[in-house]
Amino acid sequence: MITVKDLDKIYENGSIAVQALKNVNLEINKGEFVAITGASGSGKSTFMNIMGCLDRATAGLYILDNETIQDLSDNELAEIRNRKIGFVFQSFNLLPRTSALKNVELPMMYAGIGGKERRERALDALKRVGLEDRVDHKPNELSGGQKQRVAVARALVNNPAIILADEPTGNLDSKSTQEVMGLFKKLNDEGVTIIIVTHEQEIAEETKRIIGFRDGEIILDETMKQGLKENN
Amino acid sequence: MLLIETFRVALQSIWTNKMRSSLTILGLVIGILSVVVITTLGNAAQADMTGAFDKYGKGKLNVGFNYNTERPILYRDYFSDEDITAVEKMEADVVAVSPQLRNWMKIKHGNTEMSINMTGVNHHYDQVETIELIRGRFLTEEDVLGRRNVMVIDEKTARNLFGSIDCIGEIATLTTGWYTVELMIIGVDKLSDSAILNMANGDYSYGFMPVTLATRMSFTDRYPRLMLQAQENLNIDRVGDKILSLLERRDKEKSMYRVNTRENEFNQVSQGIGFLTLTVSGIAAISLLVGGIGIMNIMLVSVTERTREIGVRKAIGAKRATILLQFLVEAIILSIFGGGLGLLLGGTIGYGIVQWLGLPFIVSKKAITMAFLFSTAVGVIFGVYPANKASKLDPIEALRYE
Repeated sequence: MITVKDLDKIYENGSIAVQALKNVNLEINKGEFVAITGASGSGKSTFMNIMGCLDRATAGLYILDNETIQDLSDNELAEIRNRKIGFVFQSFNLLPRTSALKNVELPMMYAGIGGKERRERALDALKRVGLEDRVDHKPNELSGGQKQRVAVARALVNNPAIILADEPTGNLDSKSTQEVMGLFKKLNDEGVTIIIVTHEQEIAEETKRIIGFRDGEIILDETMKQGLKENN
Repeated sequence: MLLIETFRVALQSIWTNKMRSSLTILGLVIGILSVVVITTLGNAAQADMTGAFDKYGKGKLNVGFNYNTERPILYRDYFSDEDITAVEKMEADVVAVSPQLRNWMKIKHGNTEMSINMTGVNHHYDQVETIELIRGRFLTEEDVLGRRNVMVIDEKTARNLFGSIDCIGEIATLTTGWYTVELMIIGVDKLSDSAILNMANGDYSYGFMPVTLATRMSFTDRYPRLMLQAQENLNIDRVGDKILSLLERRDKEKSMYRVNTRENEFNQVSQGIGFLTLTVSGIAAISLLVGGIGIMNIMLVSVTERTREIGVRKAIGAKRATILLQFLVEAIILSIFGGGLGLLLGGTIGYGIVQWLGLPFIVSKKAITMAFLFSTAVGVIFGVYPANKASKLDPIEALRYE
């Protein structure tokens, strides 16, 4: 699903060059549930941006779902983000004053899918995250956990290759955190590839594989048969 | 599909910021409103002139002196009764001829005295000018040949002098220099229907008297001007040339005269109005620029405010062009709202003023189209910069924006 080879990222800021990623090599297979961890400045956000096709690597190879992400224009990257990646953000980033349904329809809109199919698939996605009774609610009428579930539905709806979640529980209380993590586990059981970027050890331990970054390099790659917590 | 959504989002954004949106378009509303009011007035004035020309100007011309001549105007240059008879014989070209001899006089009735512009004319004058009598009759051949002490005055003078237009048979005293006569009112002339014409003619009183009496009061037997009505469907300038040629054959110096056609006079006034309309609209159009800058300003604020939203849309797969279009459409909708409102208000105000002035109200499709084209153009021109700025935002930074 994801192949990363000898990836480098260097930020040039005037005369100062900062190497954010150093020789990163990684394979993630279909159906995996991965946590990418590290302190701030470790390079995990940079890595996530590149995986999410929001940014380009300076050197190295990145293959996502059999497509080499290299030397692509902004528009081509936008198309790949639309088709292959579902984003979930820490601060939900739902469109304000727009119903849950319309929010979930948005990626399909940019994919050029017709109104009827869009509606059906959006309803279906909302059902998968357990919000079938909240479709017409606007973000300000939803709880934090519900908002994040709408965001997950939006990420799911175009059947992306991966769901990329950036600190998805960072703004949630513990109950909502459980609610959202439970949802990720359920979706992963259904075969969805999920990558969570987090600095919280507890969250990372609920996944099946932890990849740790420090100073732009992978220092840890640990696979568990099952979520660590459940083993306890 | 995406386009409908783009419109929906734009309308929603405008609606959410109702107050701000209204204030934003205010500049544009005022700009379009001013242009519309001015063109409405200009069009009305021109339509009034066209109507007036058909009624008061068609085929009318006069021959007078060319005041730019080298030598002074002499007695022999003035027109004689023989000249008039000769011109009258050009029946193929001319319907009627009347001499014209004008003098400012004092008119008095009882204790009321005023200035009046008295014109000495013959009995054909009601053919060479549009005379509409609301009381009495015009001068007859007998009045003119018999040098009768009679006159026709305009309706306003009748009211001022006698208190009503029912003044046929009343006597008024006319004085010019030390010459005084008593004249009987035989007719009252109606003011023209054209508000512009009445404005151009000024507020002065006018009257007509037998030219024979006018020459006597001026101690002359000749006339400075001939008034003519040309036959229908002739080129009026050619008729003028023919008359000049005739005068030349009668030993008059052609260069001393000038033919004035009503057509030219009307065209000049009409052109003047057109030019004035254009100039003033041009000045008013500057406020469109100000309106456009207002829209640009608010669009820039909107882009900044919605940076995160732009980031999300880009992350989800919106392309640059999609974001650009979204903000451009918003700017265009705003400016079309402004243009439409300006058109509506401007039309209403213009209608009010035109009604008040007694001018015809013309709904100009051209003006409506122009207003919409202009406001759309303003939206595009001033929306492109903010929209482009939005579309160029880096999604990573936009998502991080607080």
